[in-house]
Amino acid sequence: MITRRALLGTGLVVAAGGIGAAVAGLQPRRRPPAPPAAPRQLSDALAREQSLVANVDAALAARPELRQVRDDHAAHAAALRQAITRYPAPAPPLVSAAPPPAAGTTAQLRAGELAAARAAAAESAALTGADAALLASISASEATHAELLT
Amino acid sequence: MNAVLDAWQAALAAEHAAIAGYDVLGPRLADASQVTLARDSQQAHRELRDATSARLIAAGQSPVPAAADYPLPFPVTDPAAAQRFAIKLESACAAAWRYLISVADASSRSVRTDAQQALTDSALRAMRWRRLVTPTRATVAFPGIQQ
Repeated sequence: MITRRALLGTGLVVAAGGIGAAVAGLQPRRRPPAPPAAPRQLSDALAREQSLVANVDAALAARPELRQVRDDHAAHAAALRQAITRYPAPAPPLVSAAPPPAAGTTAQLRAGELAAARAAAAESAALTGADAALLASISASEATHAELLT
Repeated sequence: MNAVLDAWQAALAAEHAAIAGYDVLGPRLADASQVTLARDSQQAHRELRDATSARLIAAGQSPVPAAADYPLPFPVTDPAAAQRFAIKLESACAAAWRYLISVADASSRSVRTDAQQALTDSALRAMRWRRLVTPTRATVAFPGIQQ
């Protein structure tokens, strides 16, 4: 016996469209398509921004001039959170985000900003529209942080 | 595709405006290092203008020419105003390139790569100018949106 699930899995439902149309009255009602999940790039970027906030927080006591950098990352995280909530389904589980290196020295902070700028640019390139523009802007912001930390 | 071409041309127009703007603000700067920053920034915009024009021609388009005149948003009569004007020029370029990214579809990969680089470069130049004006707030979270 061929189940409907098996037919869906092989694409035979599409191939047998003509027959399907003829017996449409006998078909069970199709489920509506699942709502689109938020792109993983957004949740990866959010996790990275939260790590960057924590890293800058750890350095802030010794370097209060990093306050603006910290505020920028917090704004990035808020914007990414908002972008994710525009999708009806949550983002898939986080698996691919590489955390920035544990920051302590200025050089480590700078390396973290450069890595974040590269990652956000790559995530932007994988998306389109407002999400791509948001990540492109975040990437540019992190490039400015890296130069500030030179 | 028209939206992409329009945004690409708008980015080129912003580069033209930046080149003209640096002509105005450069002579108002007093500090030698700032004059050098203005010259380097203007040269970078010239190179980007030329590269963007060439790419538009290669895509079968006629690049928009520079305007005959660019009205100033405020009087640029001293170094402080010149620095603020430079931030405005760079922010306008960043906004134009960011907009191109927002309308380009997934197939326009090389256009988007170039736009990301241009957005980042303008953000960096804006930050260098902002360091002179507001040293404790030299960066912005969203280049291309905020000034």
